[in-house]
Amino acid sequence: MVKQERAVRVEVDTAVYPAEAVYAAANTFAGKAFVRLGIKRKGIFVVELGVKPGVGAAGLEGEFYNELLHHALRLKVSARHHALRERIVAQALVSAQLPQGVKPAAGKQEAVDAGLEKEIEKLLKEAESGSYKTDPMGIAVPWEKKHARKPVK
Amino acid sequence: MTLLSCYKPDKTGFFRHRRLAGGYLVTGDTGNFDFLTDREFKDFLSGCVKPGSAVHARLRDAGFLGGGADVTALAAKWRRKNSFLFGGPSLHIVVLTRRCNHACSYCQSGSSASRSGKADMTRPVADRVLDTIFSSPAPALTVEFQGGEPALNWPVLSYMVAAIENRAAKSGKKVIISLVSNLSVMTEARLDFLLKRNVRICTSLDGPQALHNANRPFPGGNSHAMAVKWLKAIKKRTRGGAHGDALVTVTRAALSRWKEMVDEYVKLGTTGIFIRFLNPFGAAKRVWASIGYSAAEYVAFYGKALDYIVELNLSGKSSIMEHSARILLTKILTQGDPNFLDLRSPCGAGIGQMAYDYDGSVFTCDEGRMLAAMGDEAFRIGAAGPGKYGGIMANPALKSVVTASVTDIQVSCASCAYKPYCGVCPVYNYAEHGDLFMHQPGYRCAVYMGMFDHVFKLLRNKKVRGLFEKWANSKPA
Repeated sequence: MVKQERAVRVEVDTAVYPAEAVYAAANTFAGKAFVRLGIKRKGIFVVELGVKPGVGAAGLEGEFYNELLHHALRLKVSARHHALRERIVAQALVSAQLPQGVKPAAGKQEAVDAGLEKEIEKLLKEAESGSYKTDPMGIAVPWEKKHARKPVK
Repeated sequence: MTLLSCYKPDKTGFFRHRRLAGGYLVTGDTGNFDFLTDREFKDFLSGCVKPGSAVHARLRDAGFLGGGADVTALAAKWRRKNSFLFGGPSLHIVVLTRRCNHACSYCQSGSSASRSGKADMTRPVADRVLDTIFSSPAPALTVEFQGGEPALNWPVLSYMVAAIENRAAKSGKKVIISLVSNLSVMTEARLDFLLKRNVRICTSLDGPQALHNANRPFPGGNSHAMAVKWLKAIKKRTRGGAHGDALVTVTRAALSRWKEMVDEYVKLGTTGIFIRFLNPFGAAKRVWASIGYSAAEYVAFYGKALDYIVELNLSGKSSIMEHSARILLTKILTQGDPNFLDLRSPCGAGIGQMAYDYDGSVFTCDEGRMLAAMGDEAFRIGAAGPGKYGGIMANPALKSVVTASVTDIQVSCASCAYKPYCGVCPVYNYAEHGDLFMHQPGYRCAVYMGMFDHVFKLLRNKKVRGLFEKWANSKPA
């Protein structure tokens, strides 16, 4: 590490820390420093932290390495649980579309589960493709349309 | 490297973590949390927490241990925590006039001292605004009158209150009406009218008289005296002042006066105090150098004020509650959500709230409207009127704001331990950086991080936790 006045230079080995952790840690530091990322050679990042006015440079290197470590752990945890978490949110969103308090008749539970499953898959595919054009909760539908009463004959 | 090398992915459920008070705070997607010592955290990562131990039971009950996640139960929890997503805009902020008789140093609303009624909402515009408000599919609405000083346009204020009653009865919607006023033009007759119709009244009280009046100059009058007089009158006429509330906007001059500020509220006998930090909008941005402060300065101030309030409660001297903490605690300690629009993902802009200017222009939120008052209409999403709701909701600016306020796609929020409880403000980001997305870690982020840190530190104390659970489960007046 080479220290200059008001600037800190850190070298990061991507064999130890994933590149995503370097980017995330660099972003975290963007508030207190002007951050410049470069590559020294294959597998070695160079991170230059130009300390912003009012921020002390002391301890910045250690803080950056700590941040790297925590982000690397977060990435591992996130990668491990990503699919399960997506499924939980998808199921929450799909089940919110079902009328509340309506219980299926005896023997119909399997059909409901299969329908739910299909909807979850559809939602996950939609999320994957980035096509969020529908309004499944009807929050853009005006009250008068949603609750329109049939005219009395 | 120990943390990384000892981590055994199969042994834990999903968690986020943060260094706090010499140990670790771990949180989960549904707001579950636990405090671990360094040793316990390493044992947790490596799957070595001893079955049968207290920490094992805590981690298991909170869903942090690996294996056999109950997806249906977790989805139900997530849905309950995020129930605000499914109802449509419920908060409608109506600016009845931009005129104001105060000249507050931190005014964010683009108020003017003009005496002409050109910046007043008219009855035809008020009808159009009500058309849009009642088009919202939300079954429960809150209509909040703001300004300027909204009571300066009393004819339209009283007209709208009566019209809301009629429309609520016809539509079957539940409506709460709220008036945000400096109370300087309140009269007995007006107070009668408002209280009979259950209108909630909220005012600003920035602490002791000298501080309040320095922050909120009222040419020809005494702002503090008026606020205190009418808060007392509301308290007298309602049960414990259930329809009167006050909030503090903290300026630089207040940073050292946290005790006097709290004491002023205790002396008044209010049930709560709502301490709020300054946002760099409107007049506040222009004079930031003299009235503003750093996030660290605010967090230090807030910590002292909250500690003092806790101390008053635990010693039995007062049962006053701090509302910012109550909001955080409701998110941390309960299964529900207080639907505080600043701390949601996505934020409340457009899908949780709408703001209406005096001319019927509709904005994603009050912050968006404030920006328009400064000359930037980036967050204007339409004009109120019959049949306009669908078009407003389809506005690209609204969709952009909603997308930009999802914390899962903010680089630092996604991995932050406070993500389950926090939120970002694209209008703030835009005003500060010219970008809807957060530039981390900004002032707003640092303020909330500091507040969460302090609240979580206090939660480690059993007595304080008991008090905080009471606050979390209380309903605001």
